[in-house]
Amino acid sequence: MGKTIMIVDDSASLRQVVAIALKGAGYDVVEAQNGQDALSKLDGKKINLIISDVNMPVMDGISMVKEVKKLPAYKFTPIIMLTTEGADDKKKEGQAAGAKAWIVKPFQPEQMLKAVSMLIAP
Amino acid sequence: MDVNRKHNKTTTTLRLSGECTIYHAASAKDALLGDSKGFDKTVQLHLEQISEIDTAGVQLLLMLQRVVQHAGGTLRLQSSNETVDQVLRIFNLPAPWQTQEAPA
Amino acid sequence: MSMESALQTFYAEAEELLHNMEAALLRLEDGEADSETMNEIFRAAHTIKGSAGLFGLHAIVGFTHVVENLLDRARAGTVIIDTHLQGVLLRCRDHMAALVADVANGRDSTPDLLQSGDLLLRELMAYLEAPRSDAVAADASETEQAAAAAAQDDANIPPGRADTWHLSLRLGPDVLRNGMDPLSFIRFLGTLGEITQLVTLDDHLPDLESYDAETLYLAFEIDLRTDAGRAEIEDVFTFVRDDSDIRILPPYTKVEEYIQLIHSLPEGNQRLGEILIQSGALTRDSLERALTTQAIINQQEQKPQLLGEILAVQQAIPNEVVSAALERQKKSPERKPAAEARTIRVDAEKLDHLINLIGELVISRQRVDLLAAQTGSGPLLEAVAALGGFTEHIRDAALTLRMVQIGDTFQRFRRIVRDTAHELGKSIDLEISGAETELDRSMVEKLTDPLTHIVRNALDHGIESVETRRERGKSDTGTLRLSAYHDAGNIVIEISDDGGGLNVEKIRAKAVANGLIDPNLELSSYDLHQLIFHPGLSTAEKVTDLSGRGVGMDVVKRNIEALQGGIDIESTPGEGTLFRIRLPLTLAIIDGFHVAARNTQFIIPQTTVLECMDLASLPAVKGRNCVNLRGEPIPFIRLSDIFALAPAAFAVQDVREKLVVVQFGNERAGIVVEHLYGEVQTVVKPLSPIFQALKGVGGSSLLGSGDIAFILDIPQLIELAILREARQAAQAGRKQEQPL
Repeated sequence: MGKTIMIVDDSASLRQVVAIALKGAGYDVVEAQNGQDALSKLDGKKINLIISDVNMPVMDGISMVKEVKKLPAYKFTPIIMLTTEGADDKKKEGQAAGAKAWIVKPFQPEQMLKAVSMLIAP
Repeated sequence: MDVNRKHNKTTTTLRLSGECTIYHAASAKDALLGDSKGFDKTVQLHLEQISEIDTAGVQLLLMLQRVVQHAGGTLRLQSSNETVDQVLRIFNLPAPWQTQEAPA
Repeated sequence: MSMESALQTFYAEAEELLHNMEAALLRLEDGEADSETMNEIFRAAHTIKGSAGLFGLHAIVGFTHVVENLLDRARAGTVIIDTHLQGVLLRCRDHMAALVADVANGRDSTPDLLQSGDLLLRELMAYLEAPRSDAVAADASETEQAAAAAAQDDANIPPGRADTWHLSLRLGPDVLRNGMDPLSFIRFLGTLGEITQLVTLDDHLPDLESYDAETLYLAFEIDLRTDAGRAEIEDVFTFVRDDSDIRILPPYTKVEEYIQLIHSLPEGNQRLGEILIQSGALTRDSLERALTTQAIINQQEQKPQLLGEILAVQQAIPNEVVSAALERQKKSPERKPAAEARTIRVDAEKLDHLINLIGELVISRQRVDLLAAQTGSGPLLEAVAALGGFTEHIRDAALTLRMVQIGDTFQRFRRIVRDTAHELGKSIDLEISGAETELDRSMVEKLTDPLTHIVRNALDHGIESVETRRERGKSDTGTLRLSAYHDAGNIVIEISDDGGGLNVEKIRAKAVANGLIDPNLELSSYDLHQLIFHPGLSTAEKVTDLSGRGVGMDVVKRNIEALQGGIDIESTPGEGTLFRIRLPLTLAIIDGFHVAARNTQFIIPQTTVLECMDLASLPAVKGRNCVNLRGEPIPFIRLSDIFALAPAAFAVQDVREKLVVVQFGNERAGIVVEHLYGEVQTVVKPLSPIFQALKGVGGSSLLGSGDIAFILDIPQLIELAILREARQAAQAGRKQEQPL
């Protein structure tokens, strides 16, 4: 059964690289460019994991997590936050909102794939 | 997750179908454990219609086992499928959850 | 999709982010230190670092990391951005741009560049060396603990051998709600080695009444045979360890330590003992001896530090605190986020191709129009008319695709104004209006140079030094204004300053000295101003005493005219100068007015046409190419004259000449033709090289009939008409004087 991962980041190049890596590992990928865009794409289809940046225009990652946690069909979806080294307060804020996993930017595709496979199997 | 119940004099048959995961755990709890009628008999559990199961789902099955035991009945795993078996094997649960190792 | 195309995306994205970063930094200098501006600056560095990391661009990551760090602290208010730091950050931005450019062009960064990067970092470090927070210190001690534990493991474990670790997992009750499935962690553990034993403990399942199906009650005891080290095993539980009690016992752990584990876990001694015996960690004998040894129980009561225990540090912040902080953030003034989503990036070439195709469609449609008209079939004509309507809509829609706002171009001048003012020791404000005015993308690029030239001139020579301004009773700070607006199918860009204005006397003197004008000729100050665009004046040496305004202005004028546009000046001594550039909205397709002279087809851009009339019906000024139109003299030219068109082989006698009155800027002139055919959509094609030297023609176009038409360059023709008329007038004047 194919699993689907949503990548939320305002950087198109980051999304592209992440998508290449995830597709290579056998996942399906949905891209969104900020929190609001991500919410609009959580429209009923199965999403097994969300990877989201924290700092984004329009709607940041933490506000998005809070909204996702209100959606019955997605409130238990694991969320990996892309945090920045040293930004512990943001990480904690994200965790308090319910995004318990994180990857520190900048990261290599392999690191991300490892975190993903800890949380969901391909 | 849907639960189909059938009662007769000696057995209660429960057929579970759909996703047995955290997303449906709360509603499945009511559907599965909300009515303890027939739990004092032999409870035959059919899991082959389950499409997906996770830790929350397994925990719910263990809870069922306990409720049935408390009611004085016996839980039997009547049927399963590869998806469910794989998970049960990982958790290495004792009877009645032991399943045949799939042929390599 | 490939990594290469992802890299291309990265370059474009970085460019845009750096552009936004610069604009935001300049806003910061203007005193706009609101949270959205700070966020935008931070986000640029953050995003570039994140993406560069994925591509393994270490030089960019290394540099940007420090910048991001500093910006993050600035955002949090722990570092204050003073004027000096603003300058440093601008240079950091430039350095990032240079690093990205080097990668994009596939060249190594020069040692000079790298060295200047190091210098910048040193400057940043000075701001960053603030006292470390307690949180950091706490983290450090945690890390030390882990390191100590790892060191002890290593002492016990023979290197390079797969051995059995014991893991006790008591994960937090909320892990399932957080989307963390223990099943996944266990599966992943399996990739590190072999799970030789796993026991699921359901001891904590509560009564049915208090059972919450979303809470985790299960616990796990796991034996893992692996050659992985502690860090690797601990890593698996990174995301759940905060709320969990996870104990990892290395191979060859002493019996006492297992016993300690048993005591410290909540499931009861016998049960866990059995599990450990089963896994082979303990023998029944040693377990029983240990359990009865009072000494160990005492030890347990003193809560010794357990080897391999990962302390569950409670770091959860009360929700109320978080939401209160967010509430405060929301109340701070809102700025519309820059570069708002909902856009897609399209290759400019693809867009040009589409526009070209639509151009062909427009031409084909005109041909269909003609053919349909010949059939005289009503329904066909109706259908063709409907098709025509849609074609026009498509054309308009396609053209808007290429339109971009001029604001970005204007914003670039913030930096130039800032830096130049700094250099010159002047104080200059830049005011921008009409930033949302749109124009054709291809024009923006060609506009940058002339605009820059005019702006620099205004900064260098237009706006006076502070002392001079004071003497003249002006405010210390000069103002440069950039504004744009749409006017009758044109876009108008104005560059104005409140400086000293053009020195008309000096221009006149210079023009006379260079033989450009007759010393006796009385010229209006408007005409004198226009002289600075004259090559004979502007390229002359030693023009700096003309306030330098002349330097290169002829080039500016030519650039603007190449865009089918025009430029003029208004200047008031002591009050300032205004340059007004007028450009068509697009160069691709224009609404044309189709005329003909001597069987040659011409297109006059519709926007320039004022009115048409029979030439013969107007009172002519005798002996001159000039008519009197409602009291206003209008000079005119005959297309047949200036293009030296041969008379048609079988010309119809007595063709009544028509006058088309055109206007560009403030100038008017008449163009004399023989036939008026009316409006037509014209797809502009560049002239073939043979014709490019031809004055008065700006392009060509294919008509629906298949004929070629020349698109007239109205500004040039108007100039020509005025010049000829002036010459004729001068000659006529001399003739009148001669008899005396």
